[in-house]
Amino acid sequence: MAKKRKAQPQRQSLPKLRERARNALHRGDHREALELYKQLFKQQPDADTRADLAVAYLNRAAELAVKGHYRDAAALWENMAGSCGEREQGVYIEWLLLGGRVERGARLLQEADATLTDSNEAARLHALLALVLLGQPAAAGEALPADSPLWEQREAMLSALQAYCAGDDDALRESLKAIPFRSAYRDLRSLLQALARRDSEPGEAREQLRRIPAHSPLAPLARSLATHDGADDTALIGLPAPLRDLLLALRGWTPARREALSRFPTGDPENAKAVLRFALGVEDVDPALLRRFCLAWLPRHPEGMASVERKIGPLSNAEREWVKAQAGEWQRDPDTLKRHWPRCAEALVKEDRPLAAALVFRHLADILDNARASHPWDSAPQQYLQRALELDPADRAGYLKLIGLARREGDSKLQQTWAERAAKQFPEDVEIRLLAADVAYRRGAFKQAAGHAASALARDSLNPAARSELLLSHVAMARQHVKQGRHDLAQRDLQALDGTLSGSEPRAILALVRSLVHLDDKQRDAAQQHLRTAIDALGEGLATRFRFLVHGKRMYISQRTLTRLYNEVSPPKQEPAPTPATLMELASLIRRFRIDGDEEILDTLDQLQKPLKDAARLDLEEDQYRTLLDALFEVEHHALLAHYGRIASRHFLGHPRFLFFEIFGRHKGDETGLNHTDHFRLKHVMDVAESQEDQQLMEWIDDFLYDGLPPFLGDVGLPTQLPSMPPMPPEVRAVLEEVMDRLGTDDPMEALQFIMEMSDEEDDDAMFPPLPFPPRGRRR
Amino acid sequence: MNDPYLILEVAEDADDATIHRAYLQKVRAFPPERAPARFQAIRRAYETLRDERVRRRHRLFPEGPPPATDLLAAPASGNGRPDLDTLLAALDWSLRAPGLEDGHG
Repeated sequence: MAKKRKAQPQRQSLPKLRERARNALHRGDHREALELYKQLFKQQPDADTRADLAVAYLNRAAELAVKGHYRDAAALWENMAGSCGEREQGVYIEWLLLGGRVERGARLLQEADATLTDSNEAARLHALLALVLLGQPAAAGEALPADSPLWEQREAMLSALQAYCAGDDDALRESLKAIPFRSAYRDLRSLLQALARRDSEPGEAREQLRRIPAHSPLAPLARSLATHDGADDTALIGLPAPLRDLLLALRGWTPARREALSRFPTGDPENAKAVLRFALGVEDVDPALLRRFCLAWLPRHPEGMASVERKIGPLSNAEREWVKAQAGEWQRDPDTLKRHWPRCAEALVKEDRPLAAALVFRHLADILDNARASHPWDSAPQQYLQRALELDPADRAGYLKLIGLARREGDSKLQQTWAERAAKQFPEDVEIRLLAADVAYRRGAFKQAAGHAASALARDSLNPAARSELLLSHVAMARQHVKQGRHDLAQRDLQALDGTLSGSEPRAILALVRSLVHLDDKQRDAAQQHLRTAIDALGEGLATRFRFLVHGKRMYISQRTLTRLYNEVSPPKQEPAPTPATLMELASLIRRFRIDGDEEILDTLDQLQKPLKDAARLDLEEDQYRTLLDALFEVEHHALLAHYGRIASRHFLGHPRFLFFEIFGRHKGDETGLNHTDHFRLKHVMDVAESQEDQQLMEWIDDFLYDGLPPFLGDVGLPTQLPSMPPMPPEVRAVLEEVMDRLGTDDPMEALQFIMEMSDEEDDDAMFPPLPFPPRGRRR
Repeated sequence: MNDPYLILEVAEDADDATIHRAYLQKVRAFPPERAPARFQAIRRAYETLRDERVRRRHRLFPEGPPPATDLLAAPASGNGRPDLDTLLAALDWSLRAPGLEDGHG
């Protein structure tokens, strides 16, 4: 730092000079203040100026002492004494002692002893001298007589210090006995006693440290020890080195480890290179901890692997591969992680750690599965999951995940293989049993499905899913028996189930199916009787009729036969009008029955179309419309979808889903027939869906429009601008070009929009509800 | 401190019972009403080491590297007594440290 320019002696008026000197003093610029007072004193050597000059000397000297320049401070004091007379002799002695002029300091202290009025100051100076002599006895020279008791006490104190450091508390106590109460070493004695008892009586030790008086030269150390004793190690990093070293030594830190702290990475805590360098320099750390620590950081700095191995010993192959794979994840580098995770897992297998290897394979499968969007046909996730299950057959989640993946791929064989293995591995697990039942059912293995459902029900007799699965499987089996003409077997099976199942609905369904078996077996009376039982339990109405017809059609019984029997038992004229609840039940049935295919559902919905359309007069809530329309959309019954979609759109103007359902239904799910008005409606629906973050609806619209757009309108949605005239059929191009000419525009989109607006005006769209969104800007 | 072994003061090869014992001991020493942050750390550490399966998972897929301070928090092997030079250096520092009340420098 550049030195301040010395104040140039200038001829200034005395008042001005005095004012400058005062100002310098007030703002703490003691160096300048001293120079100015010196000038002032030369010009006006009166008593006041002398007093001010003395203060300036002392302030400047104190400033230097704080910086550790005790010799300079003492020299300034001597200058002050020469110019202004002696004062504040205590600080002078202190600076002499701390500045290495111990003999003079000691002599002055002996001479001034009687004149030092402040007893605290006297005590402080004597303690200071005693402590200074502890390390440099010769420095006292001739100032202290050889028979001074301080020499004897010094020897005792040195013995005490050595005994304490050696951990010999008996010797410590003995040595401290030689230190009298009034000794200059009394504060050090207290400090040592406190340190010695800090393990056994920490509270008392802290209290003893706090009792060391504030004027003692050992007060800063005593207070710091009391304050920082329980602090975190890292909180000590900012302390002065001698104090920090002592505190860490008291915590058992060896010198080497303390030295490492000075290299603690204080910059970016994520700087792996710096952290590892620090870690490798720390001595006296549990090797297992150091190994864990280094391994955890290595993926962020794999280049440091060799250095780490030199310190903690060689890593295993699995550990090396683990570091590289984790580094790949950290760097988001799929190639690296795909290369090293499998190697890591295989290395773990070789190290006889199959469960860890399984975990790695599962992790890898998860990563790859999450990246499916970019690799939809990648079968690696399944392969890794299979490998994981081979290594860890008790991993329940692994089975579920694998079955889920196989289901998503539509691989029913693989689904069943793993569902059966899972059921074998976890025979008591109700959820696994139900999953296995479902998988088996979907594969047409109804007997197997029934077995799993029965096992689940045996373990959880109130489980409604297990009950439903059991019923479903037996009904399917009955259907198979009926197809084979084995009505007796079907009846027997259903009858047996009747005794097992509780609850009115399952038993009613059994009765309904038994009625159908009788009907197919030409036992009309029995069929009527069972149907009556079923209708009594399920209630008369559209939903029960729907159930009966779908089940019956699945047994290949003709619609006419079914309708006749049903009408005999429940004449249509007596049938209660549908309610919103009926429609909700119907929606639920459509979804449930889809497991066996859509054909009979669609057929039955066709058959019941009139009463269902009449029921559209009912005032449904928004969520009821949505439930019904979702079900109709799933099964793709276009006529009812269009009908209910239109009515729902009128009730709830601007509802994007309802509008989509209406358009989808009206065009029978075939986008090729879409007119421009509907295209634009769908575009607006897409915009609304996007703003509402309705991903499902956006996907539906995408799927619907994907192949149906004219080639120049792109593949997804409808772009608002066409950059140029793309390829299109010649007749379309001719029309478009003519309109562009007339409009005087080069933008085909503008022309196209004009055409559509014109068609809008003269359209036959009166049947559609008004657009629920503001019309696009018109251009005439 | 992030390292669960360090927090519970158990060895890396400690079994479930040892870990459970260490956990209970720590919870008794640092109950939630007196040391809520420490208690939470102890809970988290126990959840990480609770059984072999989660331990394995933690070892293979740690949430992130531990802070460098973990190494400093490890128990040290010294006897808790400084060497004479260290003690004398600290005493010397105290003589030269700014006074607490009426010290001059």
